[in-house]
Amino acid sequence: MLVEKYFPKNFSEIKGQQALVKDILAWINTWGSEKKALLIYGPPGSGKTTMVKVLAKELGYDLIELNASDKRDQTALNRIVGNAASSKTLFGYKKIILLDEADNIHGKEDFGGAKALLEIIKNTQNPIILTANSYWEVSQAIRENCKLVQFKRLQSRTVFARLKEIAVAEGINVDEKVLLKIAEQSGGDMRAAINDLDSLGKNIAMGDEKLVGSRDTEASIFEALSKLYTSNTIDVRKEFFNIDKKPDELLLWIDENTPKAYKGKDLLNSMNFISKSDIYLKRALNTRNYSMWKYASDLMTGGVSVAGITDSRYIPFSPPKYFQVLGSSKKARVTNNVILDKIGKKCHCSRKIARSYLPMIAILFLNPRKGALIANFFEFDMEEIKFIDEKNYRKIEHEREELLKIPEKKEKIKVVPVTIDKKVESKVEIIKKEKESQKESEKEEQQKNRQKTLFDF
Amino acid sequence: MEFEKPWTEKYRPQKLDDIVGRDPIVRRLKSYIDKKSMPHLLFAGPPGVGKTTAAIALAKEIFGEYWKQNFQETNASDERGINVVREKIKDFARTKPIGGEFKIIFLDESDALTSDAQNALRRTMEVYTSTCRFILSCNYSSRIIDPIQSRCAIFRFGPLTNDAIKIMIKKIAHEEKIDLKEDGLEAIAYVSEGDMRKAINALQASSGIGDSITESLVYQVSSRAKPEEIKNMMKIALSGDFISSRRVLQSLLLEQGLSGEDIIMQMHRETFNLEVSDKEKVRIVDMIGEADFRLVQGANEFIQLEYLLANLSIG
Repeated sequence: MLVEKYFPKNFSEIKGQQALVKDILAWINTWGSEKKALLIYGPPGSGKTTMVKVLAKELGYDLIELNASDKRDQTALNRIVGNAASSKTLFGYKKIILLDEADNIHGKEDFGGAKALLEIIKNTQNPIILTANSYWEVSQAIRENCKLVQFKRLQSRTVFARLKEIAVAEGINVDEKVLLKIAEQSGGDMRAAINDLDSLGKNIAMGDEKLVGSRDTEASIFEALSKLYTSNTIDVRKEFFNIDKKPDELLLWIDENTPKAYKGKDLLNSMNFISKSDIYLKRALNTRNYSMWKYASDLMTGGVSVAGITDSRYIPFSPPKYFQVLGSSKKARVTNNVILDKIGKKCHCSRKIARSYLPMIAILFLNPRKGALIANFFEFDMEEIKFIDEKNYRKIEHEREELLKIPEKKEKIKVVPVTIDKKVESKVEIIKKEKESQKESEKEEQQKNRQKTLFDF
Repeated sequence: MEFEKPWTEKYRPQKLDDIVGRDPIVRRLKSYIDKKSMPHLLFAGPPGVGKTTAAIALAKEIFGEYWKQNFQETNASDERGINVVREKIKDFARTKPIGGEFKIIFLDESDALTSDAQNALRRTMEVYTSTCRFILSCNYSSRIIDPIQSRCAIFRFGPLTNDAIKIMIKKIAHEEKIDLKEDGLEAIAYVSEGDMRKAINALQASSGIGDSITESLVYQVSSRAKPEEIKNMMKIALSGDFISSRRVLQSLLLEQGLSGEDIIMQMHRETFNLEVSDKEKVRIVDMIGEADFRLVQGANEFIQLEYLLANLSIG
C-alpha cells in the first residue's frame, strides 16, 4: 500500500500543515504548564494522526493509541489510558496517549466513556492528544479542557505535489494533469488521493481519474449542519458555501434533520423558513432568474439557525429519506399505476377517478369468489391482487384457478363420447384454437397499451 | 374466463333514453342523432353525473355498429403533455370515418390541460374540423380557455337528484336480486352526494359484505371507503406528534402516489369533522388555503404539507 509506504517519517515530510508544527511542539515542550490535552480537529486525510505519529517518533515518545475500533467505555478507558496516564515514566521513556476519532465516543456502546475521558484528562501525568473530524461533536466539557488546534483541508496543489513525488519514486507512468485531477477530486484528503493513485496501477491514461474518487462529501455536510443547529447566527450560511449540493437538494437535507435538532416553537419557526426557502427555489425556477437562489439559501441556513438552538452534542444526522423512499417505493408506484390504468381503461376514467374504485374492489376481495370474478374482469395479475390485498391474494388466486377448471371439465365430458366422429372433434379443436389466438392477440394489445402508458412517464 | 363487471360498467346506460335524470340534456343530444351531424361539445360538471356515459351513448346511436371505429376516448389528465394528446388525436383524425361523415374524439378531463396546451388543442380542433368532432369534458368550464368555449355547444351536468340516484339503484338491486331496505336506499342516496358512480360502488361494496342492505351497513361501508389515513395524519399532528405525522405524509405521497392536491382537498374536507374548536378550524382552513396556493405556484408538495403539519402539531 502506497499510503503506508510513503507515510511521513519526519516533520519535513508532512505536507501543508507546517505552520501548526510549531504550535504543537510548543505545547508538548511546555507540557504541564497549560492544558494537559490537545484536541486536533479537521477533515479526514488532513494529516491529524500522521502529525501525532511523527511527533512521537521525532521526540522519542512511546505512543499509546486507542482508536474508534477499540471499545471505549468507562472501564476500557480507565484500564488502558488511565494506567498510562497516571503512571510516571520510570526509565526515561516518555509517553503520548493518542485517542483517535474522539468525536465517536458517545452513545450506548461507549457508555460513560465521555465522562471517564474527562476525568483522565484532568488527572493525567502524560500528554494526551485527541483527534476529531468535527469540533462540534466533541463534548463541550472536553473541549474546554483541551488546547485546540485546527487542521484545515489540504489544498489541491499540496496533495498534487505529494502525488507527484510518489509517482516519480514508484515509476508510475502518468500525466501531471491526471495527478492534478486526482488531487482535486480528493477534496484535500491526502489518504484518499494516494489510495486513488494506488488503485490505478503503473500505467495511467488520461481520463482514468474518473474511475476513482467520487467520494461523497457527507462528512462536510454533517459538519455544516452541526454548526447550523448549535449556533444562532445568520453567518452560518457561509459554512454551506463550499458544500457541493444544489440548493433544492440541500433544502431536503436541512428539512430531514431539523426535527432531530429542534423541538416546539423552534421547530415550527424553522419549518416556516424551510417552506419559504422552497418558495424562493420555485420562483427562481419559474422565472429562470437563478440569482434568487441566494434568498432560498440564506433562509434555509441562516434562517433555520436563528430560529432555534440545540445544546444536544450528538444529533443523529442522516441524508434525506425523501430520495430513499422515492427509490424504494418506485416499484410500488408502478404497480399502483398499472392497477389504476387497468381500472381506468375498463371504466372509462382517469387514474384519479379509478382510485375511487379501490375500496369497493378491496371489499369484494374479502370474498374469494367475488374477488376472483372482479379480478378477472380487470385482468389483474397476481402481483396486483397482492398489492390490493396482501392477506387474501392466495385465496383469490386459488379461486381463479378453480374458475378456469370448470369450463375445461365440461368440454372433456362433451368430447369423450364423440371421439369417433373426428369432424366434430376437429371442429371443437378449431373453435378452441380460434378462441386461444383471439385471447393471444388481445393480450398482446393490452401489453402494448401497458408499455405505452409506462413509457409516457 | 368467467368474470364479474363492476356494476358501474354492467349497468352503464347504452342508449341516451336510458340515462336517468338528464332529460333536458338528452333531448338536445338526440336532435344531433336525427340530423346526423353535431358541433363540438363541451360537457361540464362534477364526477359521476353522466358526462362520459352521455358521450358513449351518443356515439353508439350516431355510428351504430361502427361506433368503436369512429369514437376515441383520451384522458387529458393521465396522458401527460399535450404532445401525447396531439399525436394520439392526429393519428386517429387522419384516417377517414367509417360509414359516416365524421369521427368523435372524447377528451376527458380537458381542464387538466394547461392554457398553452389548450391553445394547441384549439388549433388541432380547427385543422381536423372536417372529419372530427370533439367532445370535451371538464369539471369546471371556467378552466377552459374562451376560444375553445366559443367553438363548443356547452352542456352543464349538475349533481344528480336523489330521485335519479334512487331509480338507478333500485333497478340494479332488482336485477342483482339484492335485498335493499328502504333506509339502505336513502343512505346510499345520501352518501353519494349526487355522484352515480359513488352510489353504485357503495351498493356493490355493501352487497359484498351483507345479504341485506341496511342504513347501518351502507354507512359502515362508506366509512371504510373514506381514506382514513389523511384524517389520521391530521389527528396525529394535532396530538403534537409531528415526526409520526410526517412519516404518514411521506407514505401517502411517495408510496401510495397521492398528489399534494388530493391530500389538500381531503384535509380540507376532514377539517370540519375534527374534534377541535371552531376557532381552531378556521385557523386550519386558513393554513390549508395557504399551502394550496403555494402548491399551485409549483412549490414542493412534501415540504409545504410538512409545514402545514408542523403548524397543526405545534402552532
